[in-house]
Amino acid sequence: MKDSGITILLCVLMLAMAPCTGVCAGSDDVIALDVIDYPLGSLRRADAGIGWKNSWKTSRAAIPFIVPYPEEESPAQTNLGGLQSGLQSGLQSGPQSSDKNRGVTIKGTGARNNPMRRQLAEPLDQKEVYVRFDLHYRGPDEAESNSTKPTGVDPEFLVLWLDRLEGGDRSTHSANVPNIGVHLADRGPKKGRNVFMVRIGAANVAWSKVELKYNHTYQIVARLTKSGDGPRADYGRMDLWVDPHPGDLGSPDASISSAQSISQIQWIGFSTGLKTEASDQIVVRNLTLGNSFNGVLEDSLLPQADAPRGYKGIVWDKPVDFKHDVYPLLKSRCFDCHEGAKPESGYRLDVFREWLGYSSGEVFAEPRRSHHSRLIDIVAAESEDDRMPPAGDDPLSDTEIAMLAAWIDQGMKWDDELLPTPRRESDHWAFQPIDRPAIPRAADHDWVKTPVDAFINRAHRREGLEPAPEAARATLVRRLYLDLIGLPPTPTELDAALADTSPNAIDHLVEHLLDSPHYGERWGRYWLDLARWAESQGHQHDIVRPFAWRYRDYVINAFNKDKSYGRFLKEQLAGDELQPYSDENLIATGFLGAARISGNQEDVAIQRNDVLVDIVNATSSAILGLTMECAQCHNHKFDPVSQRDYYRLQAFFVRGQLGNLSLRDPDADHPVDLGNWIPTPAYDFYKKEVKTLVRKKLYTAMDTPHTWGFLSAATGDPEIKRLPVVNRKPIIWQPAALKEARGKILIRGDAGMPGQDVRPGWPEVLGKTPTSLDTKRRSELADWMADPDNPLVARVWVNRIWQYHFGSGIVPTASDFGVEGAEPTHPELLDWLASELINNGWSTKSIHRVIVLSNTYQQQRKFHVANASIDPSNRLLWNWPRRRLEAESIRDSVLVVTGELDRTVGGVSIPPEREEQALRRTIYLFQQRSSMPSVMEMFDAPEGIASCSRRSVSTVALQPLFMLNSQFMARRAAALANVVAKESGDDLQRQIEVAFRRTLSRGPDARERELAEKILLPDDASRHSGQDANKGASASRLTQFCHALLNLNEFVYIP
Amino acid sequence: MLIHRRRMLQESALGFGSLALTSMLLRDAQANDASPTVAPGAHHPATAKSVIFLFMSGAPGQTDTFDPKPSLAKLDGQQVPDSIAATVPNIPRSGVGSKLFASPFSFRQYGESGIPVSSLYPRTAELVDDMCIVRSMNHRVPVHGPGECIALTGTGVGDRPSMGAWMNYGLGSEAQDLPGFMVFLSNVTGPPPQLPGWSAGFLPAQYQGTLVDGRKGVPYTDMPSGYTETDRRRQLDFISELNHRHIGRQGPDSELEARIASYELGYRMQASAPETFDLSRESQHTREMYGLDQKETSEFGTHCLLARRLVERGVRCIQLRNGGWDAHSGLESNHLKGGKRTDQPIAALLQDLKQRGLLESTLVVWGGEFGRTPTIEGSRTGKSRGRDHSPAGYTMWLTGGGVRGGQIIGATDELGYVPIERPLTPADMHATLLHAMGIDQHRLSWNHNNRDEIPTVFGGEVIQEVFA
Repeated sequence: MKDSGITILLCVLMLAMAPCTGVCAGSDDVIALDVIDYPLGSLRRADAGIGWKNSWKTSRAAIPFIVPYPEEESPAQTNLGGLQSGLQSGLQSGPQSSDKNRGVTIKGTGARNNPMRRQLAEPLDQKEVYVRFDLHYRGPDEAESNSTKPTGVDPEFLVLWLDRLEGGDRSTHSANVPNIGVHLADRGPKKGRNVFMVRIGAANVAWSKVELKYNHTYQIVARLTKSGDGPRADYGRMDLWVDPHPGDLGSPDASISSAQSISQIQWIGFSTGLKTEASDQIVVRNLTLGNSFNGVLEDSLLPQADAPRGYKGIVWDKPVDFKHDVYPLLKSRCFDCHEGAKPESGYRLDVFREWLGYSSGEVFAEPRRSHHSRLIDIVAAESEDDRMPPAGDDPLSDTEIAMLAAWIDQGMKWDDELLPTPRRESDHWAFQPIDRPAIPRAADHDWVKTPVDAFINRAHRREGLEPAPEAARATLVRRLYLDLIGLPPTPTELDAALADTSPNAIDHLVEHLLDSPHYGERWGRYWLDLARWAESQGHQHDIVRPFAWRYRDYVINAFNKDKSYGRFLKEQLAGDELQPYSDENLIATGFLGAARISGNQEDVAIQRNDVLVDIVNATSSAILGLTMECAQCHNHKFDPVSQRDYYRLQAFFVRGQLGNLSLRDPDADHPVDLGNWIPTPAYDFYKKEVKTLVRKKLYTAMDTPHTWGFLSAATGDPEIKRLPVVNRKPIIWQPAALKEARGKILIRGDAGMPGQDVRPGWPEVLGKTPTSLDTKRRSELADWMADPDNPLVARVWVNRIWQYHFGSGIVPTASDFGVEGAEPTHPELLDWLASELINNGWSTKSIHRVIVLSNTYQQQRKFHVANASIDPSNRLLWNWPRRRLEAESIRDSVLVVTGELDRTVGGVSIPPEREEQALRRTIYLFQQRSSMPSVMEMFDAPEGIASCSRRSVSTVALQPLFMLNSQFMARRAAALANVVAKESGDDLQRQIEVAFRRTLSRGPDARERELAEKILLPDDASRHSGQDANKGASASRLTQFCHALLNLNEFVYIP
Repeated sequence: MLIHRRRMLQESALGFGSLALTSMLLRDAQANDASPTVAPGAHHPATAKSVIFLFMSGAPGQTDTFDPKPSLAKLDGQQVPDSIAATVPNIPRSGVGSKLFASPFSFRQYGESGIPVSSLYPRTAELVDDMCIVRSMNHRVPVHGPGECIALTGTGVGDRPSMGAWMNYGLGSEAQDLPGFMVFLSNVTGPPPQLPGWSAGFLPAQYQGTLVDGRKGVPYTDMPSGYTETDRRRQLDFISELNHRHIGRQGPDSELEARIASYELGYRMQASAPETFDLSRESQHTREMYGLDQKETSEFGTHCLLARRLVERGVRCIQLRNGGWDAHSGLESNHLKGGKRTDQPIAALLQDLKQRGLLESTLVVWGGEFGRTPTIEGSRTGKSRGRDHSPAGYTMWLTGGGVRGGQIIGATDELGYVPIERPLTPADMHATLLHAMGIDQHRLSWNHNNRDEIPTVFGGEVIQEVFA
């Protein structure tokens, strides 16, 4: 057989439509046929061949992939010119080279899998059936060497089975079921070698003497014969021929008999097994069932040639010239809608690679395959609804269609000069390099405290705005405390700050606060919002992740240490790859690990895709400030981001998986009393699930410390152990398969429709991804992000810092720096801050300093009618913006005021039901996605589902009810009253004074004292009754007064 | 346009004058320029003012409730015929390889329409002439969690707003002193239900459903012990005056004023919620009608009765979730319990709404996250037979709120596996519910991450024939 079987191009569609008229002589011999030559991406949808009931069903564990054409650009051909010329030279060198790998490639998973199976149109029960298929076993090292003989023997396994039942993805079709294929011989002369065999049942094998060679195409023929007559007799005998000649019928290479077998064949499929590794790739094609030996053997059964596709009898047999024949037609009939950067429905036809599905994965035509061309199908559609050009326009003429088909069959020659491939580029501001601007010469240079003010002042001047006066010192101290550490100053701290009258007092205070361990608790929380971090899997069962807290502590420490932002990103994106290994790096991968595990346990392909989508969306949104999620299904409508870009970014992550990962430091904190920090109902459920998994032998106890993170099977440190994960169905961890995993475009975002392979890369518009990128891929992604030339990362981060200080960013859409994002209010300030960040070694604290020490930051909150008419929303910062405290800071502030806050930093979480036993900061309350602490639910904290760049501020009636009636607040009011009473003795005015100062960092004025007395001494009579006038209030009155103070707007807004 | 105005008011940083809660203000603003027949915030005249979603979580079997299949009885114990097996989509656990399982429940025709209903729902069936049965629902996800997300938010991921949140956002609540969207859980078994089913997703948190314990009412409405009404009033007066002084020092600010107003609203809610949730005010007859006096029906009956009281008070969306329908084994006893728990309360709710003239403005919807297979799960026998999950074809029904009753929409094949007529998706159902509320699914939008998001992101068309 050899070349013809491999190289013939088959017109399956034609066969299906007009079965066997002339093309396939002897077609009576054919029962079923599929040459398995599919256009990209449609194995599950296309219903090609003859004699079948439906299309192939594929396994979710490993979907067979169609060998792409052309292959994904090799490193030598990354630029488009190379891709295209490579393609065309392939055409010139004849069909052999380009078609060598056509077919469907089955990959191993290291486990039992039925990658593809198909039902016959009618069940077969005749006396004799012949089966043929072609097989090409690509060895593990085909790429590197041409060796055809394996060195040592790597056991292999692949069979074709014929069964009555379909079975599932993992069924073994081996109990009395005929199998034909390759396996490691366990006896006979070829014992220990991979040889071709037939078997009926796993123990009933006939080994041939033919040994498998890698990278050779075999033609396998088998005959099934019934032991008796009639439909109920079993197919008890099988014979096998490997690469036979027509006269070989009498001399099979192996034969087997069995007392028991099946009596009817309805389903046929391929199986891989334990020995089929992910690196093994097996190409299969030409699956034929027939009535005679010569029948299935002869390639003449297969359609012989790709006859030029005529259309309605018109055959275009002259050479087609693109420029003169095709181009004018496309231009006049297609390009009105399908040209340029924003084509209708996202399909553009003026770029060659787009015909091949470059950015969307959807293929319109491939050279010489007009029979598979979606474009031809569309222009030739019968129904107006399905046809292009659309209803209202005349359809293409039959001659035009025939010409297009001929153009495709002649190789789809393109004119690059006429229709060049555009470079993806954009003049959008955010994609341009950061250019450090000069600091403006401020008109009011007295007002300038840091360079920030110079930029702000220029805008004020330009718009005629007058900045508000500087805030009072006590206000500023409270503002800095709340803003930088998320806690109000205690009266002692306030007094100390006010007592410092040196000119550098504020600088000292800022340094003091930036050095406080509580700074990381405040600012790390913003990052946790971006990282959509939580301590559970999410979705239906929302099973807890007992060691996710380590990542929370990692983030807090990173902020406290002022870790370089670039390094911070690198550890989070690639911590498992970094060398030398450190536990800290591994814990950092909790950023990727924070992805929820989709509740779709029944469909591992969807579940897996959901995790990857979560990772890509969070990464692009949090770090790049790009909303890429829509490119999951189609090219971005506004931004120059293609669907291909989306899957290229995803390709960085496809070799890894979430999990519990082992730590190495023998001194690592290793708490094991999970019930101590997991909320009781969640812990009870967790224990139940553990038991189930133990029973199913899917879980073994862990004795080393571990963390929740992300590990790549290919590039992660090989010493890292992945420990059991408690989940309804454990997420798949098959290192062999993961090592080989490749990025793929999913057509229209459907996990069941994988399209072309893509190499890892960042969005094309942001620059070329080096082709050398391979080994530590995520490290290189992180390096690219932290490169000073990256236009987005530094801008996005300084803008976030700005937003967290002022409530709104210089770019108000902090996670959308794309074309549709808001324009920066102060573009030069943004660039100055970004370059300042880079110049200061990506120090976040350096940015805090230039901001909080500025006059801009230190303004009062003060309304100004004229300013408000010019800039009603204070975008240009003519006064301190109104900012409510976040949920965490509200609760934390209450605890500072009452003196109850336990200031311990880090460690395991606190279950909300036990918060009273350890009144720690809110960031330490256990974060189960489906059951967040009530104060967080109440005050707009995110649910840890998607990256959150800015919390909304809602005002609903349940908030005051919580603040006034919850048990938590009632207890705090009592605690505050207690402390106030202790400090002020039995003196009413002193009580009012102390309570105000503790709560609001200021004393009361006369009117406020009066109002306070109305609560504290409601009974007028007793108030004026002489010597008791200044006696302290009763405990309950004092409690009610304290409770009211904790409800003031002034208390929950940053002054 | 109205919607944009609403947002403008909510978001403008410096509003003037004394703003009430923004939603209250909005109602006034919209009332002024809206045509009288179109509800504030609505795009077209609504056929319903409130929605009660009777969500049967765990998924009751369609062939055991509202989609009788006589062929199933004939083929009991046999394999699924090829002709039907071939049409069942490739969904895990579709059970096509298992044996068919005739419904253990009998069906009878009811009402003038003669629509058949199983013996699980004899009382509800008395109202079948008001009900529109949709027998051709289908989607592709056979897992509870994502299935619930699809049923209630439109996608399986759980990150989008629930339909209730969209309605609450689009229309606001007519109830001045109650949350506009409330959720009650009954017969919760196993893991906690899906938060996304009533979450606000990317909408502001104020639109999320408030989870309410039917016995306790709205959370945090009980004052700390020892507080009197007068004490609270004094506190509120103190808070209000200090808050006004605070605004006075720094200038007008809508957000701060909204927070001031929220204290008054909270106070009213605290005052009125206990009354709303106090079922002792209902007559003995009513309480018995809802089954409050029986063990099996008292929990769900309480929720149904509360739903009526909330509808009377103008609450926009009420979701009553009843769990426990996941009959993988012992379907007969499982569904008998489910029917017992829900039939009488649902019938009482419908009758009660009807007799009070509320049914015509209240849309009531019944259904689970999917249906169940016509086959036995695994190889159980006898009474232990159960059915697996089947999203490929299932039944929901609607009544009230403009629905044309006594009709059946769509049909499944002779076994109840797959729709063969008018296949409909949860997205179609969502479009229909929004439509009934006067909302055009394409026009209600919220700008999230700089994209105008709409409720039905994956399409979905209004099922026009639902309406009279």
